[in-house]
Amino acid sequence: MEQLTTLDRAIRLQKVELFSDLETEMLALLASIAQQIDLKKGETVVEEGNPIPALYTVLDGEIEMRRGGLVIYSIGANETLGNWALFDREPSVVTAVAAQDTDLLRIDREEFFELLADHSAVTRELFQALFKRVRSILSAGIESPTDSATPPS
Amino acid sequence: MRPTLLLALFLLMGMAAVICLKAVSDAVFLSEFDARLLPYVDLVVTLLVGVLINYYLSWSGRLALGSLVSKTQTVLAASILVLWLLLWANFTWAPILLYLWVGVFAILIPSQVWSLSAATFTTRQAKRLFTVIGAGGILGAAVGGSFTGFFGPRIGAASVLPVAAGLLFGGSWIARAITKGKRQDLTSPSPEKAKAPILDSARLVSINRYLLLIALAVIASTVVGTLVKYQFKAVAQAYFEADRDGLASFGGYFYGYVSVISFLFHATLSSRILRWIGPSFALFVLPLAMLSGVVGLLFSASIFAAIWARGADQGFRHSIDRASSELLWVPVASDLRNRVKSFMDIVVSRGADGLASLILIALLYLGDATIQHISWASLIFLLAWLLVLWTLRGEYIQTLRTTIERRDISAEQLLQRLAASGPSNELETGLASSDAQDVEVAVGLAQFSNAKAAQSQLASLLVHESEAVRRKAMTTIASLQAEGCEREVAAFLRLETDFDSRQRAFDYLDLQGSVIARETEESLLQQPDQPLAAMAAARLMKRSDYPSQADSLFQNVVVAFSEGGPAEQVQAAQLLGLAPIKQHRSDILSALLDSPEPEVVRAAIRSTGALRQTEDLPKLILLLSERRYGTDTRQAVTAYGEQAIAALSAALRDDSAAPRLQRQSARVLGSIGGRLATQSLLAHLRRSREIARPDVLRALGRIRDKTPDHDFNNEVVNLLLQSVLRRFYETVTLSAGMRDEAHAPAAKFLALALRERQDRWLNEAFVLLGLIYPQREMRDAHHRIQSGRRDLRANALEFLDSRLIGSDIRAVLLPAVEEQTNRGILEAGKRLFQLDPVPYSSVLRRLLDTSDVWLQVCACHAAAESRQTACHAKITELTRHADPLLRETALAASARF
Repeated sequence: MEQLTTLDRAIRLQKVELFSDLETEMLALLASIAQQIDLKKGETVVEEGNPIPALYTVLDGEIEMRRGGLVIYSIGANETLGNWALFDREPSVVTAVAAQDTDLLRIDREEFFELLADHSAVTRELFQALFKRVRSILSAGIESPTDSATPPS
Repeated sequence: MRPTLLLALFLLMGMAAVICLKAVSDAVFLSEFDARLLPYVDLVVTLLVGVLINYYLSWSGRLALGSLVSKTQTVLAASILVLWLLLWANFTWAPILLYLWVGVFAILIPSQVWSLSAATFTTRQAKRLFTVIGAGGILGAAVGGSFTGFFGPRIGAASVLPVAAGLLFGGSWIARAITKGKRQDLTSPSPEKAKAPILDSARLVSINRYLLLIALAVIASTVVGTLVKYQFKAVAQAYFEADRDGLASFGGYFYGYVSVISFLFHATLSSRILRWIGPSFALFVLPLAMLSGVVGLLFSASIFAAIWARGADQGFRHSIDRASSELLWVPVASDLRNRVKSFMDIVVSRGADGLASLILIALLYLGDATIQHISWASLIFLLAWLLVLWTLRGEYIQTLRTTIERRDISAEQLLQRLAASGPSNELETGLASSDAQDVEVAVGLAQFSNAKAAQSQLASLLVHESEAVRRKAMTTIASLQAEGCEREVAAFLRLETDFDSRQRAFDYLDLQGSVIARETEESLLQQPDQPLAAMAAARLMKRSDYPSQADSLFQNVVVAFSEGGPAEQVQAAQLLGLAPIKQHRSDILSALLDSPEPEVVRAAIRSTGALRQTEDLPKLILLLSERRYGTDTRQAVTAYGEQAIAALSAALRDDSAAPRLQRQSARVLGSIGGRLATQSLLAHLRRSREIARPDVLRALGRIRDKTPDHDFNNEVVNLLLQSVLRRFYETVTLSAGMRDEAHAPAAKFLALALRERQDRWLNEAFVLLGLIYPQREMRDAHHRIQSGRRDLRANALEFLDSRLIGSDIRAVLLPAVEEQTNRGILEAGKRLFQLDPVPYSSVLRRLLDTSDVWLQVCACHAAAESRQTACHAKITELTRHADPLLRETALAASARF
């Protein structure tokens, strides 16, 4: 995949649920710290048991989530890996491997926090998005407590 | 539109029924009894109203408004049929019963229609639609009068009664149709029940200033109306010298013409007047018109003056005055309105009628008054009426304001409540706990508690084994200014290592008295803990007669520590901020500001702010652009006050300065406040620069918050408002040109960016409005307009509409916030600024030419996506732009061409 411009990356990041409510200008700020990564089939993004250092968004291709060698689920274009990894340092419960040649956007945790420190508006909007998500998860739990949890995005 | 037409029809039928019933009851009564009985019967009517309204109000408390109206109309219609049958059967008391019935209940019929209208519409809808509903009432009165006049003699007066009953049955059906599937307050009964509804309603009116003013306006208006009606009749009687035919003919023509004029006025002007000046000003139309008539009667009891006075009353009372008076009820909470409005319409207005009768009796029979004398009484009540309306005007805005107010509770209030809510000994138990964490929590709560016993326990915690508990106890003691802890504080100083906690302890001792503080400071000079000894020395050096050893001790420690490692340098920097400035120490501080260690720089920044040396200011201003020192540098520069404004303004003006420096400069200017800071911030907005614009607006808001009386130069703010709102309309107009293109990713992204700009301009407009009007009001209004609740939104719009009367901004702002479709805003943009939508290619060209870098970036990308060759030259030019993102996007776009 050709190298995306910052604005292209911003447009792609808009499709990430966590960032979907951010203002366009703030998406561009996030895009400015997002790196484009090309993975070959079989390459590992995250090892089970290791902390996830970044948030990854699939631009094109597919990433399989494996535990104990078994594929639990996979994510495709515009889906993300490590949403919560931006906010905690817990070890990954899965190993993420490229199921085919895959392009990713990577937002490094440290750079992400640097950005938040510089732009309080991004922090505010991001927290709103997070709380919205937590609320929807909670209300989904209240409405159908027997439903099994969906795989993490 | 459906509920409006139904309510207009309902009022038409109701008023037609009322007029029919009044005419028939008068005719039937007078055909059977002497007219001299009328005052006595009227007195009985007034007494009956007092008794029966209690039952009605009690009944109304148990039913939802919709059901109440529907059932009342049915019961009234059925009772009319019963009375008609009694008349038909020649029952002796039937004429009196009919007269009493009409006297008591007729007033309820239109009152219910208006109550239903107030509950059906929001404030803004009511303002547009109440004139339409009112027109139904005027027409209904005309229809009812004509019908009775024509058919009464032909079919017999009593035979008109079933027609009136039919109209009321129709009203009952309409009430059901309107409330079917509607809002909760129309379909649910009030949760509160009163044992004595009439007293309860009177109490509610008496404790609510707004309702009390409405009641006073009703009383004054009714009294003046009754007095003028008497004057009119008396003058007419004298003029026609008791010629019955002449009087009848004059009366017929007079009321006929007045009805026509009233209807025409209402149909053509009422709505416009209401929109133009709002209901609170429109209420002045009737009293002012009557004032001219009453003054005329005061000088000459001529038929023309009488016609003018009564004509004004009849012409405006049932048109614009009725619509405006009913609008006053819309912002009142539905529950309160349901409990009070009927009381006001029936008891208060009837009571005012009685009062007017008593005044007339007193003037005519006791004082032998002439028409002119009665005019004096009218004049007094008119002036009182005008005064009440003037007060009511402000109260109407205040009531709207209350409906949109957001009530926040601060963390401090919350903690105070938390501290007060626990059992009285809970705090003491917590403070005495063996668990350090429990003690820490209890110390935190003690800060917000008034328990003296808890405060006395705090002193002992200053030597607690837990460092966190000790520090928190010191903070709490300092904030409470608790007395008698000097010994423990001195002990705390020796245990403590944290600079800020030590400072707090020294400050506490200073507050307890200079002798104690000095004794402690002198004793600490001997301390082996050098930083503590140097701190004590620095504090002693602020006194006029300090011991010389303090000076040398301080210098030695500072010099030694400034040459040590980072931790020592931090302490040296902290100490330097404590003592009165000496040149060589200033050099040390300046050198520490250049340290590669962030902690050292941070401490040096704080001390520089404390010393406020002019030569250090440029260095501090530059440090504003460094994120890691943000808060400390802002506080330090803020401490310079007005001394820093010129340098901050220059940084804000400097287009080549780092955006962060510009943003921080704006924030610091906001913290410093004052005339010069405001001028600098407003000048930045006038330059239409996008960088730091939100920060500048926040800074202005902060100045407004801190100093609500500060003059922001309304002329400049108004110009800015016009410019911001113009940009809002321009953005909407540009968005309209993108309608067919917004499916491609870049175009979609651009459309979203434009939408965000629209929101930003509106947001800016409200911040600027907050500089002219109370900021909190404007914030709340903006918040409610954005809220999803239509009643709050309508109240916020009505509040703004009323608040901005007399301002040029009103006409520009209201369409921007009120119109819910882009089409409406586009029309307003065209009307106000001659803006027309342009094709997509022109939208892109205009955006590429704008000074808004972000929109230029998005436009570049969108132009490349749709291969807009007409934009290529401009995009090539932008490849050399100073902004890196715009440069990158323009280069990529250019390559795609």
